Amino acid sequence: MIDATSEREGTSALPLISTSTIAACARSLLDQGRTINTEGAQSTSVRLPGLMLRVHSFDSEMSRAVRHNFLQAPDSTGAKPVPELTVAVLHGETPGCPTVARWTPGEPYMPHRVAQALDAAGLQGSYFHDLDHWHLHDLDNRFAVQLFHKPGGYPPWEAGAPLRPFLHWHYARHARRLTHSGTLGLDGTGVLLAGAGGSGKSGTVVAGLLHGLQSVGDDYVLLDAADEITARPLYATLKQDPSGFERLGLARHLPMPGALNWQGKYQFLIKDLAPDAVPEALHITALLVPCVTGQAQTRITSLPRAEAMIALAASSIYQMPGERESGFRFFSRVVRQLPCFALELGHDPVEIAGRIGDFISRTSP
Amino acid sequence: MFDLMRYGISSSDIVAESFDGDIVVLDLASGKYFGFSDSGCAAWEALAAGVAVRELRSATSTLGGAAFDSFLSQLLEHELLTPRDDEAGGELTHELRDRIINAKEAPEIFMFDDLADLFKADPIHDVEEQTGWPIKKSR
Repeated sequence: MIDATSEREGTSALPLISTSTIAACARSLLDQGRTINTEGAQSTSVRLPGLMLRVHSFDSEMSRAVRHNFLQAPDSTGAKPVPELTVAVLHGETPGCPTVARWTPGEPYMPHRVAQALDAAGLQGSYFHDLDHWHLHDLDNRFAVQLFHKPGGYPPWEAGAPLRPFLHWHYARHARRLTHSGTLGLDGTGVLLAGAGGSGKSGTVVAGLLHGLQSVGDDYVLLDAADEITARPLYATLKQDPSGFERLGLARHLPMPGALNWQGKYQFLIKDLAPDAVPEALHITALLVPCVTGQAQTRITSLPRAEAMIALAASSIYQMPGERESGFRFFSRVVRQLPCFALELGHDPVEIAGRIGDFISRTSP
Repeated sequence: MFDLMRYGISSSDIVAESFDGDIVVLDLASGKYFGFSDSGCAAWEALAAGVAVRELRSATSTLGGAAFDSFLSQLLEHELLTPRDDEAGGELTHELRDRIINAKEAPEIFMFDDLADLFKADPIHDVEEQTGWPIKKSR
């Protein structure tokens, strides 16, 4: 399992890992993580669509994020039991914690090859070099470990959408996808908003929520693509940069928005903006690719599916670690099933929300 | 390039889907996406099916003589195609020939690889995947 040891930056000797040893090392770390006594952890259960998440966290900020940043799914007591996933959030100061491993210096880390090596062993994993931060997931045993050196020793985006890789791996196995997309809806029918950061997804979602539309998320949502396309909520948060915050008049609704996050954005909860605006699911009838134009009026025009595919799949696949082909096929099915449009955004939030609401009404079955 | 050469998709890392006749190709290893002009989509389908270069060069001649060779060079440069060892291969179907003849654009390839821009909000993605994580993406 261990190639060598090294000492760097004041850390003690760390196991070094390469593509050829990643599977055995991941298995060992997961096995050790399973034996940790969780009595000292903050334990939280989160009910998500088709998944009961049991989280034992030894990191206080991650515990807080898990408690606050998810949307609990409706209780389906009496229905068939849902799969459970147990996640241990561990750091180097956790009693009995396995030694945090480091990628071998100079050894290229190629995500696709690492994913293939882990997949052959029935595992998934991802690694952030700068902090020796690991996500490791054992699909068959429904157990996962998030591992890092010290409390708070994870990248700043982890707390905003916590445990994202684990949800991605779990849902991908069940023919669903954690998808980088915004949503807006009306009476349970809605549209996906796909595009890279800065394309206007979040601002559009907030504009819609402020003016009577529904949403199941502005950034990451759960997509089903069986007989029809359905989007479900996972995360309870919205984000907006200060200029968008001002343009959308959010200070009237959120007079104390708190500090800016690592992206320089305010992060707040959907319920603080529109308490009743999150349905259990949205039946998706169209894919919209927003772009900020500066023009007065919002326009919705036909878009070739290939362009919509790039907008939806590129960011969704790239942001989720691990095997990629099944995601490419999944999003291809989604794009083929939906009419696709460019959403050329005007600058008036009321007009934007009205235009999209009219569009949803007209495209509803 | 030799007229009799035939090519095929270079590896299982290269995956493609068709949307109303438009092709999107993803290199799973590099994370790069590719699209083509209208004649390029038909030419890609033909090349991937092992149609000989000679047939395609002839079919695309009205779209500009050098355009097809440039198109093929880029496909090889991006390692999307590789020469076939066997001599067996497909023939240019009437459907693909008609699509090429009726195309409005010369064969062209478009690459979507500026993922640093796509993911500028998330530095975890700011890497050059061909090289691997330790090498920051050059700009």
